[in-house]
Amino acid sequence: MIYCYCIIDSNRPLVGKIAGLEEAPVYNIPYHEMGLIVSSLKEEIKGITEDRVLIHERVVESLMGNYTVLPIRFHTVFQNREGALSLMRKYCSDFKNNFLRLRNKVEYGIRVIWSGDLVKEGIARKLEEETEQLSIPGNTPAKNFLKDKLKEYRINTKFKEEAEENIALIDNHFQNLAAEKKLEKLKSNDLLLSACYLVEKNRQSQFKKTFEKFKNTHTQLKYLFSGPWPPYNFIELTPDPIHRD
Amino acid sequence: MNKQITTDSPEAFMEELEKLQNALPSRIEANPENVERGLAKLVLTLVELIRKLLEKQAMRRVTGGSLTDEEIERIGQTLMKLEDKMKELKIVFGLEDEDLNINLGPLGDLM
Repeated sequence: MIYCYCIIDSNRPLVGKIAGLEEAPVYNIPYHEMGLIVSSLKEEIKGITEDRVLIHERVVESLMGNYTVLPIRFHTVFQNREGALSLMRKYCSDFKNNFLRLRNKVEYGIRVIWSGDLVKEGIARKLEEETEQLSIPGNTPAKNFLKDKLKEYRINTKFKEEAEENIALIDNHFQNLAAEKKLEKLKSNDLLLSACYLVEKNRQSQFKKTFEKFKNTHTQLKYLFSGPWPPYNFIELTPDPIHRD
Repeated sequence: MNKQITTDSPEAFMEELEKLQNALPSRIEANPENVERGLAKLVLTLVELIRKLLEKQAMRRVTGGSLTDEEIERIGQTLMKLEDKMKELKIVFGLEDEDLNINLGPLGDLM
């Protein structure tokens, strides 16, 4: 059973010993100018446990310093070496393109929470006067229902506009320091932004300093900063790639 | 490379992440015991999506100011009845508002 951790931009044997899942040694299966990082396991591992996920993650991270890594999803297994190589054949071209894009880059995550309810209350207060002026005439149950819906609609529209403005303000500080970015906006009422930035290794220190500066000048928001990570969110694979030998 | 995960508000982030995880079951429940509820959940999610789209369109028309008093009354009645009917159906199938959503993977949530 071959268990896969990641792909690296080297076909040479790994330097030093790394213990993988079930304490099995981690080694490199070379394919052209890259390599598939794996462990040979005696039997299939059953179940996702926190320990196993962390071991998988540690193996990938331990290689990040010396190589460009393309992490593979937890619990990717093949019956034998030939099966594992079929993965390399199938996605060879994609892997090469990803190495070109991601070389010497790492991922950082920034999550930002605001107080969604307080923002909505503020908007509601501001809109009160205007809403009165634009109110629907009449007092039937249907019209009263529509008035409530209209108020809710205006608050939500303004809420989204304010969120966009805040996200743009945050992103403006980081986008120029990143090669690529992925932003998820308002995943919940309070989770304003969940951002991933792909950062050149030699710009990490600048990126971190920019974050610290931003955090200290925008204290009304709550932040979660993490990284450097392998570029989990920036790997691109074509849905149906061509097989190559 | 030294990885860091820093926050001044760990509880707030834990709460948000838990909320997001709990909000969306990863698959439609469909087994012999609850096939009806699983199917109802899927159908009502789509109905809810359409209802919200209708509501949004109605709001745009109302704020556009082009509707007559009679048209506003009719739109109000329609939306009110639609919402009441949805409430009834949710009670019948034991579903909450947060059940009516589908995770579309990389595209995010349906609503």
